[in-house]
Amino acid sequence: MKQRLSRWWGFARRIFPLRVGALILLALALLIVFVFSPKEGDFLLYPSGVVAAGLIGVCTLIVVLGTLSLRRQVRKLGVGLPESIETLAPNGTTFRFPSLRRWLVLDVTLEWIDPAHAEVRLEYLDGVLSEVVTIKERGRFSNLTRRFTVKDVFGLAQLSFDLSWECALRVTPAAAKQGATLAAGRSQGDAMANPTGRTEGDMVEMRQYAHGDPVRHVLWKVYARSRKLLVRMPERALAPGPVNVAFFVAGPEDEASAGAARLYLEAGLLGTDLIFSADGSTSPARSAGEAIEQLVDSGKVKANGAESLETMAAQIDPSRMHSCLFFTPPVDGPWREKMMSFVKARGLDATVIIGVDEAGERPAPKGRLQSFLFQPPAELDSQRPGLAKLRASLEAEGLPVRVLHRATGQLL
Amino acid sequence: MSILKALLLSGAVTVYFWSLATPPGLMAAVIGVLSASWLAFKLEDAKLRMGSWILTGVTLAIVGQILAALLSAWGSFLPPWFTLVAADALVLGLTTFGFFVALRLASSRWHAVSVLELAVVIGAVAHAFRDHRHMRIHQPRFLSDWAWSHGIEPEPVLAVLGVTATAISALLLLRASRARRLAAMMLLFIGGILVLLFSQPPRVEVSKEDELGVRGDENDKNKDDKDKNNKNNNGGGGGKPPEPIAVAVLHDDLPEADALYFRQAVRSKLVGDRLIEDAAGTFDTDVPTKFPAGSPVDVTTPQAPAFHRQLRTSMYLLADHAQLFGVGFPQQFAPLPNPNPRRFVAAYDVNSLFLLRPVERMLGRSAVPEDWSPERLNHYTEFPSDPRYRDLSDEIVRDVDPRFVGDDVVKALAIKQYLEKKGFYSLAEKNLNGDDPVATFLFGEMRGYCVHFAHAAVFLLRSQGIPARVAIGYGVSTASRGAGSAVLIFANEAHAWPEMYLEGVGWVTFDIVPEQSDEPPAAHVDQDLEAALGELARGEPPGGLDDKTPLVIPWELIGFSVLGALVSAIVVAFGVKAFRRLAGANHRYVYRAVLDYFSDLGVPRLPGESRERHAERLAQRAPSFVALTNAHLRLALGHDDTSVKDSMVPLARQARSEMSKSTPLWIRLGGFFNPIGWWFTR
Repeated sequence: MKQRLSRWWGFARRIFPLRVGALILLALALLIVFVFSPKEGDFLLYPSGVVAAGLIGVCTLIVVLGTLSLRRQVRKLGVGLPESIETLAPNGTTFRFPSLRRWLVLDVTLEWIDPAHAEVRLEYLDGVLSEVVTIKERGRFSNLTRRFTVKDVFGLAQLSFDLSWECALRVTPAAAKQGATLAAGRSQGDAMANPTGRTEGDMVEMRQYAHGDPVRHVLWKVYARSRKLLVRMPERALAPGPVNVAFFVAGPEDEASAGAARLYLEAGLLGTDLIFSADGSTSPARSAGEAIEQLVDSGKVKANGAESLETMAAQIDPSRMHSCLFFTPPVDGPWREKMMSFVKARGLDATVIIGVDEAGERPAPKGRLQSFLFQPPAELDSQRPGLAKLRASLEAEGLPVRVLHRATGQLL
Repeated sequence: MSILKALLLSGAVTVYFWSLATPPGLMAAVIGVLSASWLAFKLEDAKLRMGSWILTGVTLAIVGQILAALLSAWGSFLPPWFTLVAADALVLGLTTFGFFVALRLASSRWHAVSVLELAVVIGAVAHAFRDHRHMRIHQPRFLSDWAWSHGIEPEPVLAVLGVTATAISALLLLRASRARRLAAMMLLFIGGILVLLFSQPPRVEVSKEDELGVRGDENDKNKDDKDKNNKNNNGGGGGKPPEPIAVAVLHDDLPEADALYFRQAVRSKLVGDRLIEDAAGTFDTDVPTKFPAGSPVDVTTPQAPAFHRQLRTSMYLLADHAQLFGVGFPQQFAPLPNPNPRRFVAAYDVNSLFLLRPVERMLGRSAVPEDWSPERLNHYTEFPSDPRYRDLSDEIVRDVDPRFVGDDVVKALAIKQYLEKKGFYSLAEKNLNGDDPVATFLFGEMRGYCVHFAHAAVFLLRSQGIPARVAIGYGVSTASRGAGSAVLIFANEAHAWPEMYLEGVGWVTFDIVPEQSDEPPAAHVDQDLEAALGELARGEPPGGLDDKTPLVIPWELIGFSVLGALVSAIVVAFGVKAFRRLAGANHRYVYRAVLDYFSDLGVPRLPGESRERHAERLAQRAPSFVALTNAHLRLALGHDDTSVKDSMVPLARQARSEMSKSTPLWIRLGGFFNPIGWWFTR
């Protein structure tokens, strides 16, 4: 019932052109024109009221006409989408539509209703608006619904309409960045390090400094000589053994984990002879490309995380299940119990990798006065109590957990 | 845009407090607004607890009031001027700061609140010019004097001010600063002016209460309103001033009289315990019911000319009225051209008869004419069946001088004297809502107002067999008006009075003026307003311009000058356009000519766009433009190659041709006639 009411309310808001401000202004204007001015004989307020009411009327009329005109023009357009889009990156589409700037007082905004979780920015050029979309969740979509909103620059009137297109859109998760700490971690995952060096591998190789590299790895002598900022890099393993089997557990807010999985797949961190399985797929993938497609498809089964682990395991050679990687969501859920029972039942040597998107600082209000006047900042992914608890509970079960910051590739 | 909004709000505060605050207080208020706007701007993107900010704003305003009160109470050791100034600055500074911090922050959070900002600005401007309300067209002085000295009426000036204030304050609603948004505001301004040209200004509404406030006995509300109006008028201390509803311009000398009665309707038909108008039209034929449309309307009047003098007046109504009215006993109503339709509702001439003698000098006259039919006599002498009326009137007339026993005029005077002596005039009386309010009044405390006195007098007169009726209209005291020939009538001068009939004379106004009253004395009419409206009614410019030459604005000259300047500017712009197109074969001029052409077609190089990016952007529409740009850049960067130089003109021609083919005809035509496309070339 509540949902239905909410849907009706949303629909009414879309088709009723006047905004709250316009209603207040209209009430004031009518009060002035029909009550106050005749009663008081005010010759200054009267025209103000007339002009204000007229402004609302004209804006409403222009918005209605502009909406009709835009709808007529946009209906003829194609979907204008590429076949594949990556999350988090602004993707310019070929969808272009009239800006209505010739109407002088009109602005047009665009949003995606289905798929949701997309931010649309419009770029103006030569009288038309081009769509630049940033999608936040991966998936495969056969239908696109766009909502066009036409409003006046005074914010008095606004109308929206939805249009749908058939499409074949594939949204891949943005891969996590490959950082130095991840590289260090990677060497630990290898089967056999160089016997003459340290267990985790020696720092013998050099590469250009990248954001997120520890400062202590910077080669300052080289910098002094060459003005090039280089960092030491752990050596590659002498005989890298395949990390073998990796599972992707779908769940809420798992986009960063999907990004981490994609990084492992594309960077060859799982070796060449990989076996990968993501929730929602029917058989394990044996190549990176195939695995990424499974990642894309797993966007639909976020509610059923770790459901297919048993099915997948049945199709994998048990001797390969020596050590496993699990990419899991940062939010605890029923998937954890399922995963743990799966791991315990087979006595796996498993490592859990959790991707997060936000790890930076957000300044919080200091002192009582600031706390009174300002809202506390939203919680960062990496600072969520839920994540710490999840990590602790997984580690208590004997599973090493790595939290990977997608944007920098840093292990937290 | 934030700076503009801050300036706008501080301007509004300045206008509002200009006449209310000391200069330091005014300065504190402006500083309060500016600092509030600055704070709101700084916190625009912060995540605020809006409730806390609003609470803080209100608290600051209250703290300002408390500090000012403390300073006034305990600052006796300080110089008085310092206390005054400091208190003013504290109150205004903190109050405006608190109020505008809350308002600006709320407005940046919720767009609907911007409407309140707009209302604040317009309200402040309206407050600054509030003196002109209630038809006080001579106020504010600085505005009306300026307007009239320039041959303009103040109302259009006020209207333009209102439109300007609205158009400018619409800035507060705009979401971003862009040229087209400012253009939208200008259009709003022009549209507002156009709307004003085709719209009527507000008319003062004469409500039922005002017009027929004399019916105050029917319900309490009417009486209360009338009470309020009257008090405000008479009290002289602020409040709502009375509305002027008509101007009577006298064409003859004003007869000597304490009051001028402008009769609008009469009530003579008894229904139950009260009098109503004779809807059948059999009697009271001396009261006009229709407006003189085109030709004069004569009224059948029973007034004897021998006892009256002719009086001609022109009536100019400032408010709609259901029925005509005129001074004395009108004989004829003739339509007049309305000298100012935006101000006056209607205009008409009235030829009236004005009774020369007071009723005291008509002793010995019989009230009932011999030629009256029994129906007419019964109509005008019927009174309620309550025997107390007859008993009371008998008691009143019993004490008259025996020499005048049986004299109707003496009887009437005795009744008048009785009511004036015993009655108490009070608009505050609220206990007269029973079935028979006149009886409640007359046989009770005798506290009431004109309606009760008029009805009581009529019933008492009728009980003595004297024909009488209640007249309603406006009673204007001559003592409170100016010496000019115009008589200003206010809504709160609505009045009811009795009229009695005397044989050979006609109807005689017989007003009851109680000796006791709790009403303050009537305030003097604003003579400037009376004179100004009178002059406007006569079609003369107000303000006495005899000694000045009115400024004649040469609109035609201004119009032709503007047109000439516009045409010249267009010609010059086309000249520049042609010159730039035909400047020569230098690679810079050739390239610039192509850019000019593209600007005409609406595809100029954008700010921040490199030449290469511009060419790349248009590559699909004009592929040769890329080659042209590269060639131009090579030459501009010092590459001296004749073949490249020679290729410029053909490339330019080709690029123009390609762009032309990819551009609709109407855009090309627009570009051809666009004189300033080159202005946008970068």
